[in-house]
Amino acid sequence: MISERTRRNLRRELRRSLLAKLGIVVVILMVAMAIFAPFISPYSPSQQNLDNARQPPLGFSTAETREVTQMENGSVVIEDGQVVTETQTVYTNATFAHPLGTDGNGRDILSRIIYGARTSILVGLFGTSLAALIGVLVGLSAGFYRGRVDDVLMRSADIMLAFPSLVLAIALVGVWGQAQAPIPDPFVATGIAPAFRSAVGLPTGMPETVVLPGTVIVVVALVNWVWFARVARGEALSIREEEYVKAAKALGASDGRTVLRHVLPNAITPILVLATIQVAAIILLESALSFLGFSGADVSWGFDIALGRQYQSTAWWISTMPGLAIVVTVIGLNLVGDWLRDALDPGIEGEGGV
Amino acid sequence: MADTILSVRDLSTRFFTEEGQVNAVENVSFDVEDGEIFGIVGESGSGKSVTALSVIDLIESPGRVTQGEIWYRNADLAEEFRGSKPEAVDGDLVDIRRLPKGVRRSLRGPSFSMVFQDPMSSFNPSITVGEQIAEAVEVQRRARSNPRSTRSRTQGYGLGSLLVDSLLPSKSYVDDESMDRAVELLDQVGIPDPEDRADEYPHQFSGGMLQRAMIAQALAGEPDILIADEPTTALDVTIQAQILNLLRDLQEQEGMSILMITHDLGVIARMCDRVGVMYAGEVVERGPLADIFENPVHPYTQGLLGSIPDVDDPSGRLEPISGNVPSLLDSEMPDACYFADRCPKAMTDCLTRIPEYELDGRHSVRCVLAEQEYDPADAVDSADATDAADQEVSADD
Amino acid sequence: MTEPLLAVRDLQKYYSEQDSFVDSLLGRDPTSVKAVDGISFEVERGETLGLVGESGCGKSTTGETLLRLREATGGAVTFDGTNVFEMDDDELKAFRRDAQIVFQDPFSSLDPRMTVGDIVAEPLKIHGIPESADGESKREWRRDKVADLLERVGLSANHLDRYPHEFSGGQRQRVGIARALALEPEFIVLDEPVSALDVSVQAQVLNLLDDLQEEFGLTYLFIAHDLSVVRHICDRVAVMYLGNVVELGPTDELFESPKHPYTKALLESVPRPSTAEHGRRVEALSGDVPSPRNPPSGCRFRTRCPQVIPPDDLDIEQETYRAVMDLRDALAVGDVNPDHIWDAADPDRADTEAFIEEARARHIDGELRGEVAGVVDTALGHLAEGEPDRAAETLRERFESPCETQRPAVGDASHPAACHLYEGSDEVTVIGTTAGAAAEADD
Repeated sequence: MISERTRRNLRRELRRSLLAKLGIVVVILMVAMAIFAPFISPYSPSQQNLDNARQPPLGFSTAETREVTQMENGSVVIEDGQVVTETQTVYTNATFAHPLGTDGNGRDILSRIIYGARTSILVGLFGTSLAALIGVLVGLSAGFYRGRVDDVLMRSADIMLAFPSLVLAIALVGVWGQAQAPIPDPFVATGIAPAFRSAVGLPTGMPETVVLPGTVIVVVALVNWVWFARVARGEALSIREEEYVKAAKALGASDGRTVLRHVLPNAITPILVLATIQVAAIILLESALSFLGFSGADVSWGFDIALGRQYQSTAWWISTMPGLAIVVTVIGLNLVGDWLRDALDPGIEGEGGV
Repeated sequence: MADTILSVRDLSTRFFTEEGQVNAVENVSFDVEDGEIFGIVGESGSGKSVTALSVIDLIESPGRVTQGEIWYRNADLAEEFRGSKPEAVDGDLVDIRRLPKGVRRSLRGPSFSMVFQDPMSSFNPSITVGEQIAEAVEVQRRARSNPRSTRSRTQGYGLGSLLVDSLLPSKSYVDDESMDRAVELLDQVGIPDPEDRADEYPHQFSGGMLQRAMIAQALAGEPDILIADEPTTALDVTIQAQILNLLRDLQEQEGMSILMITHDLGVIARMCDRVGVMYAGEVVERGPLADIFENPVHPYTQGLLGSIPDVDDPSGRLEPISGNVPSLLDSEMPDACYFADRCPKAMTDCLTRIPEYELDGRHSVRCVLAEQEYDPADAVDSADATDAADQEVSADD
Repeated sequence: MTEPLLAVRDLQKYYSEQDSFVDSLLGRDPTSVKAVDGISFEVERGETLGLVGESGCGKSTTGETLLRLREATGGAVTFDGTNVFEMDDDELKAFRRDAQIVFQDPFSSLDPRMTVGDIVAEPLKIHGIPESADGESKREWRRDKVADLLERVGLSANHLDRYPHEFSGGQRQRVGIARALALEPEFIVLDEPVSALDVSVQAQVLNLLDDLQEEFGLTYLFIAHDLSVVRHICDRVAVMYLGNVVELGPTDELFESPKHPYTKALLESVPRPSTAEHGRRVEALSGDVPSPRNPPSGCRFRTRCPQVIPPDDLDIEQETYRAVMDLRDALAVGDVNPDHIWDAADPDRADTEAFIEEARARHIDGELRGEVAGVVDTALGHLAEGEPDRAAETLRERFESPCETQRPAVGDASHPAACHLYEGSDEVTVIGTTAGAAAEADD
């Protein structure tokens, strides 16, 4: 399906661009992290240790002042009918056990980021696929048939666009509730991951299921399909004028066959580029929904940012670390999208020719 | 015999692309005489347009003119550089490739100007046609009042004047005198109501009218040599006839020379006094029109003439050249006559590079048949001439 | 005579512009582009009919419309006795097996994402061919068939798995021909099949088409703008101008004794590759092809015709009449600006005589005599007063040509020409009154 020339363009663009390499490395790392979470996560994301809450990440320490009840010989000192307190400074130091620190309940932030990647990437991939499916179907029909079909489909797409996407998403989640499907984690279920962990001496007891946030996936797709529809329509409009489409008609091909065999394969490049960038957009949207508490996922970057918000003044890392994870992933995906666009854009194809 | 105004010697132009080095023009030599129309004919990819662009110094990266001399007759320039660059001067002739860049650029307009194939993309769609021609007039006028000072021609195009231009109506930077001259030029190329048409935008012109306007623009500098690169290819045959008439009239009125680039042997026959036939970057045969059309020596020239159906005589089967136009990639060019793999008369002698043979003073050909008869006993299977394992497409099966 | 394979009757294809949702809300009438405006011809079995004309004359639209690749807006096409425009889906699919098309552009006519083998096999898959194959799978059968077809058009069976971009223009055009042949059609529309190719390759493809026609008994409709190619390959030729067929006849007869002034001009314009051509000055047609949005009334060619017919009672030379008609057309569309003439004649704008003289010098070569001079001067007087419409009207009243009031019909003779010069027994279609035609010419 990918021609030699495309491959050459991809390689050339990759050679030229440092940013493209960076993007690919980031995306591969993120995906690997999500897939192999049960192997590499230092702890279970839900394992609490209240004694060790709010430990800072490596390179930082905190000095927290607390009012502590003054004790003398095992009893509380009371003066003037009041319990005497004194101000104490409690120092908390970073440890290698929790390189990114711990959250308000003493859960390891690194482990939560690793498991949070699963939620983000699942929503990103499934959400984008669903959005692309709806959008491409609508867009190709609108572009291929034009006329009234086009008017009706694309006007409704415009109406969708007129709503702020987050508001629309919240409204939909509100109506439909939070349907989730727990899927057994294959590595844990087969016992490979626990065996590996005990062999290398990591704590066991990893979550046995991956939560697939169904409603969120449907909602982000419903909010984002319009972009695919627009791109697919534009492509279909130009491809339908190509003579090979006319030739297919002259051969007696049905419309469905023409669209599937000729229009879609030739429109796939910009759709692919868009999809890469849409994964990033959908990860952002999922994070926003989780942050606002609408996703129902209990391990999610957005959700963790929300959890850390109350400690913002004393333990900044609880929100910041998952925030950074989002930023890095989104930038990485956008860099990959740019690379694909630069390499596949037919507008610059043949550059350097005679 | 007329004097030579332009003499190109061993010109080579290469493109250095991702895929490798492309030898677009290879050792091309030809002369253009005063007041003649010299034609270069060839199929797509033969290097004819690149030759024209090389002469007018418009080759852009990744391309480069790698060798050759372009002698141009200009007494003033010869005088000016006789002392400082004696190697670039020969009598009244100067080798413009050895002149400084600024001087070379100043030749565009008063010495050479160019008409392109596609008039639609040669005009800026957001500026009126008259203004674009007036701009060319103005550039030439400034250049003439202060010869070869590149600064003088950028006056009025700096940041300050950009500001003024954007505040005042855009027409302000061509003065009335230039605009009047533009209208005159439009009239000269046969555009009706030139005063009104000058104020119209390119999209309001038909293809033929726009081609006329481009010719008017090219005439702004009163050039010695007009280079016309496929000037009628995009036009219908009745409009083509108008433009060809116009070019001939202008050539006679102005006494200029025309270098005509085309793929159409009919256009060559109607317009040109002498012809060069290009194939795979080389001029394979050149000479007076009658020699080329009636006594072609090179099998490619013969094949080209045999490929064209005759509008006056339908009888007979066409005799096409088999195979396809070759790749110009340096790595794929054989160390043989480039035409050998398609040539019906290829012989063992053809398996080396062939020099240009002079037949008589005016007719030369790059083929061994100039010196020897075709000997079937000595023939090579044309497929042997190059590694053409994949090119077994035979046309006349 | 046997029944023709294909008969086209009054075929009409108008494109409407401005037909968007907003336009229909505002109740705007769509303006139509009359790409094909009522043409008729027949294609006999086994012959090659050429359809020739300049760009925009509607020849390609005709080819696509008669194959129902575009919906016609009027007329009928009968293929083998059945009306193509009334076929239902099954009949249409069967028709597609019999009638195929080869396109002009070898780069856009092949899907860049499919291999050449898939491209040529596609028609077989669409039509479920073979219905059954004994001994081998259908897939293998098709592969053999495709290899066969490729070899038949001069390509190698090794090329099966390559992509179109690996081929040159001429080879790609051969692939397009192989695809059209796959269904073993009777009839092929060749839509400028060689105009994108270099001459040496063009000759190869023309010879191939010749051979295939002989081998398979094909009938061709050959659409082209290149008269030399048409002369070489066609048995009969139809010349189109602005959506109409202006002349139709056997190739040799049409090329050797063309009737219609447009055909004559076309033939005259073609540059011949021979030394006799050198320095030949062609009496080129003046002006451009009018827009098909608003074609001229009567004969479509009258605005450029060097033989436009003057009124019976007018004594005028042909060239002068042409110049007067050009002046009138220019006046009618507002292309003559009296200010410029005033500036040249008399900047004070007082001397009407000088104005008239200047205007005549600009627009009409040669002397005007008698009545003609009087009418032209009156008209120019109106122009001097800034009333170009009145000037045009004055000229129209006296100089109206039968070419603009009556649309010439294509007769039924073996070599008909739609021109008033050849109207003897041929019927004449009157398309409107003088006033109607005048109004049409006005807008």
